[in-house]
Amino acid sequence: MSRPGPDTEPGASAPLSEVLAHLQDAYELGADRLPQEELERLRRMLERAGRRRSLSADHTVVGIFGPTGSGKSSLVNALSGTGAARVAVRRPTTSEPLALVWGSSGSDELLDWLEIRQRVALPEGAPLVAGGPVRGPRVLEAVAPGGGSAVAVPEDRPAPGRREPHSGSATEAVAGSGDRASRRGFFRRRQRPSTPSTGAEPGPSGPPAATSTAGLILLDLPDFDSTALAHRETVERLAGQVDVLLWVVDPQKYADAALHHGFLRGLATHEAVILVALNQADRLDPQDLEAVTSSLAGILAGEGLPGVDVVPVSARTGEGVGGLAATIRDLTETRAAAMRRVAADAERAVGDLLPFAAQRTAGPSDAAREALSAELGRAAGVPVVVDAVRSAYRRDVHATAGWPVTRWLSGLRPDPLRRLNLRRQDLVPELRRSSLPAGDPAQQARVGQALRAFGDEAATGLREPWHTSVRDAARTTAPELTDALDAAVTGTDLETGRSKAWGVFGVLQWIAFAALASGLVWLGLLAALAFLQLPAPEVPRVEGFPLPTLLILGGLAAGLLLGVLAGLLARWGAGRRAARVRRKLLAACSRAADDVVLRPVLDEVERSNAFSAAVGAASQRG
Amino acid sequence: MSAPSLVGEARGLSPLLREVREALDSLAFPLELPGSAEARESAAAARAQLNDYILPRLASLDAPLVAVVGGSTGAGKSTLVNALVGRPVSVTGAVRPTTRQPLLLHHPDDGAWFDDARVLPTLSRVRLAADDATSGTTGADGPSTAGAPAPLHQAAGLDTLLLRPTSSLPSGLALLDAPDVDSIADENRRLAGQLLAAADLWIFVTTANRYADAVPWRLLAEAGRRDVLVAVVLDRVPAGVEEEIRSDLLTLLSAENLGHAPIFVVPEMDLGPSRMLPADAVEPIMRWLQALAADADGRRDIARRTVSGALRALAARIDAIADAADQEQSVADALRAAVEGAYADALADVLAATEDGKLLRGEVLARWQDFVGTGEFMRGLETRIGRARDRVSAFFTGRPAPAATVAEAIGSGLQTVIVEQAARADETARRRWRADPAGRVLLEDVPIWDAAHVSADVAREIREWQQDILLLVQAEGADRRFTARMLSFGVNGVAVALMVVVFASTGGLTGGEIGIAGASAVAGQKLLEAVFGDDAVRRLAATARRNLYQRVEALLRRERDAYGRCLHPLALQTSAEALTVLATRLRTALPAEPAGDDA
Repeated sequence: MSRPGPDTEPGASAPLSEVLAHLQDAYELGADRLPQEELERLRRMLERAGRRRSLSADHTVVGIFGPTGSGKSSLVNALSGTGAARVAVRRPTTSEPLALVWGSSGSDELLDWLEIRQRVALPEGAPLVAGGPVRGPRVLEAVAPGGGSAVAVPEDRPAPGRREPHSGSATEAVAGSGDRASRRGFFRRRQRPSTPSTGAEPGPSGPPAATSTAGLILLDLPDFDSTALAHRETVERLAGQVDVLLWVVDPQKYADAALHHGFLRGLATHEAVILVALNQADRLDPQDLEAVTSSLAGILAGEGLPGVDVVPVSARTGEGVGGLAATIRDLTETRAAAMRRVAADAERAVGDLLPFAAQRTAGPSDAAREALSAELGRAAGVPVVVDAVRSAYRRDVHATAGWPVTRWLSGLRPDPLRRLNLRRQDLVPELRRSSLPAGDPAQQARVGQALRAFGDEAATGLREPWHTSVRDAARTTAPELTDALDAAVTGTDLETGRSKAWGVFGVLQWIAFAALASGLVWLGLLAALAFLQLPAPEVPRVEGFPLPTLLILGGLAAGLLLGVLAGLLARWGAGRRAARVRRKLLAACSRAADDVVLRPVLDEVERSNAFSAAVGAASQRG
Repeated sequence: MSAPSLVGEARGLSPLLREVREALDSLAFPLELPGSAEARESAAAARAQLNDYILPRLASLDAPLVAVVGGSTGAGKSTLVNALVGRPVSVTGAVRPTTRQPLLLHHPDDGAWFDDARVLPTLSRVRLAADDATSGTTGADGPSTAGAPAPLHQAAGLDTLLLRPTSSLPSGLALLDAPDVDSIADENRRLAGQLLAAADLWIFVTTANRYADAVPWRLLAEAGRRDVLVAVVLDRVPAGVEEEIRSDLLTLLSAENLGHAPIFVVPEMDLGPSRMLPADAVEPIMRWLQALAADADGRRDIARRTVSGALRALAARIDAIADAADQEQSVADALRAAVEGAYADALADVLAATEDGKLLRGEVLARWQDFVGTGEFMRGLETRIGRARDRVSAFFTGRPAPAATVAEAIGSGLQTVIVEQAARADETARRRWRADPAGRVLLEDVPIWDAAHVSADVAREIREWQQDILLLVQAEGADRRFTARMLSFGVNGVAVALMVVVFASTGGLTGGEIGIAGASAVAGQKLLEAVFGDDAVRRLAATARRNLYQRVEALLRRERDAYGRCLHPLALQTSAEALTVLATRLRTALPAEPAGDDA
């Protein structure tokens, strides 16, 4: 069980592993976001790639696909120079995949993974039809007796079809070993003694073939277009697993919808690991052959496979089989096909993901953030609080500096701040709750709208599903946000203190009031004295006006003037305080918005960006 | 022949079939369900078969039989036709697919049957020169050029039927060379299906390579179900394996109820430069065809048998279509229910938000309290509040609190709530539709949610509602002696009070009794009662609320209609039940199943 090849990975897989790592990242980032079937496809692809990479890198699995009757089994026999694959005229013939393994050591796990139970081991040195054109039948004849010998198929019915179609040699029916799909499990046929005889095969490339075919696994597969539906399932599974897809078509069937619509159309990324052989080429005259070949090449080009050459072969005459074998040998020798296949899978996966990736987006703009803060401020009742602050200020001023005669009236008005439960700044802010109603539907609606607008803005330029996920990230913060906003309002210093400066106005008001009152009392006394016919003392006069009258008039005028002045000043002061408080409140709301809304939104935008970056990186490598 | 006569039934059948055709015409299957594409095709095929074959055949059972030569690409259909006619009339070749335009070959005497649009009315016709005539007159050219296969007729599209009189065919039987059933040319496959559906009998060509292919077997299985007369030509059979393949094919045919179908084996052979099969290779087929053509009664029986088979198949097909239509209906119902549910929730939420004084918290409350003035003490005095006091207190205590501010606050709160609910309903509806594959496709036709537009709509509705309330209050006040008192508050003030009362009321819309939740609205209640009296206030509040409800409902319905429109095409379809009824009627109108008719 010595491994013939080096254990190192082929050089091409270094960037490949990066691509796969990027795809893995994309898968993880896309979880719960991308459509489920998309994720599932990606997961299966990654799993397959991981599995294939963990399995023998020394083997190259070449699957032979084709419609029923195109001669897959015959071609396998012609290529291998054996009669291992059963060939018959009844359609469909092959129902169970068969593996021909050149150099079987280390291939078991790989074949287990491919779920192929019928295996034929060929020695490493066994040539894969050594190049030469000519005389296919002789190749087969030289091999078939040994290859299909009783040693190889000990318990098979010695199928009558095995030799008979051979002599008939009318169709592709060439040789048969009658290993019809039995559930023979892991029974393996070895044909070691038979093969040396093929070494005598004449051919230009001669046998340094000893190394070149080592590690080749040729799969003879069932059809995909017959009435046996189980065959199609097997083929579809293996088409996703093998390293090289060799499509065998024939002149009758090369334009079938089942082949092109069912398989080739979706394989545009896999050009590097696709071979197309037009079998039964001997049935066409040269002119037709050319027309058919170019017609098929045209169809392939239309399906995104312009680089795939159509190789005309004939399993019956051996025409072109050597060339095909050489192509397969080349693929096997480099041992790169397996990784190329994985790379093609990765490329297709990247292509599938591209519609979900977008340009890097910066996230919500500053303008959007400001708009959000402003809207949240409104929702948090900032205008109401600011109004309350303003009127509380004016109420306070009125209470200290208003005209004492009417001052009491304002005491009847409730303190707007106290009404909102915002006056008690002595409490720890965290424990306080404003009586701004959190459950107010208008407020909730406003929060919802603000978040929706913000989410839309943050999601601009993103593609689905990220557009939705970013919006949702914004939208789902609504309940948390309501609390945070309330805390922001209550936690802000509303400057409810009363300014000392108004005391001066108060004193002046009282002086004016005292003057008014004293003037009134004076005049009252004078009136009382006059009423009682008592001599009144002389009233001092200023500039000819009696002093008490002046006191009354002056006190009245000063009081009203002071009241008006205080009112005007209070209006100005209230405006300034309101503006200050508004700024503070908005800043607090904006902080709340940043903490509660912005972070998840940015996280989601970041996730989208990371996804796009991973897909982008993978697509560049691929 | 014991086959029941169809001619008698034809009179009863025709109106029924026309009904069926109309029903099929109405089917569009607008939803993208897994079965919809198939159902669409099936309906189109049924329609086509009705027009192409069933109706004309019922009208004239004596018309020549049409035998379609159908099969896989590369099976050698055209080669076979050429061999049967004895000269190259149809293009053959190695490049697939070859035949793209159907070619109908008939005896010169039968030309009249095919010239008009009797059969296959959707295909335009191009009559080719009768090859016999040319070969007779222009002998110099020789038959090979005169009767050369018609190249693709560029002037006409693919849906063109080439007609070619050929005297080597017996009269009473026409051969139709059809495109393949399985190549990558989609149009070929569709056309082949249409032609096979329009045939009286099938000459099905397959090969040793192809006889187990899945695609043709689907068609053969249908032929078995429809009881069409089928002959199978097993072409390109390598020498020596004939018997093996023939027996295998026979087993397969028997499994599909086609065991009685004659199998003609044509061996694989080198055609040579002329690409013509030798006549003796197809001689048995020719003999079989001639025998068919010679027996006029037999021909009529075949036509009868095929047409009744086609009618039975049509009934079965309509059942299948009805199933698909039913599925579409139920999916559409689910989608509609999803949207209606989302908007019903929105309406309910708007109503809930405008009840119980919920909307009167926050800003509205603050403005309202500013408006009604002030504090517990003043609350007892509302009935005496006068404008003068307002003015004075405005001067001494701060700014004025006009009714407009309250109305504005109410309007803005209400607008926010309605817009938000509409947005949420739209979002829910979209999410539910997106979760459904069919809904996802439909969603592309739903215009994108335009917040600004909806906001403007809502704002207009609210303005109109407030206007209505104003008019309501004015009308109520006009014939009352409270006018003077009302004037002292201002109509606006009263209207605002009414709005507050509306939003403070509990008990929903329908209940006549309107209670007041929350002390905040007591002032408004008192004020209104002072103006209008108890009963009137209740009535006014109920009216105003109903008005609001109707407006919100209409608004949300308009929003919902964007979704409803997408489902509209479905409403124009014949319902699944009606289709099932048609299928049943069709079945009862048909003669009983021909039990083991003579072969």
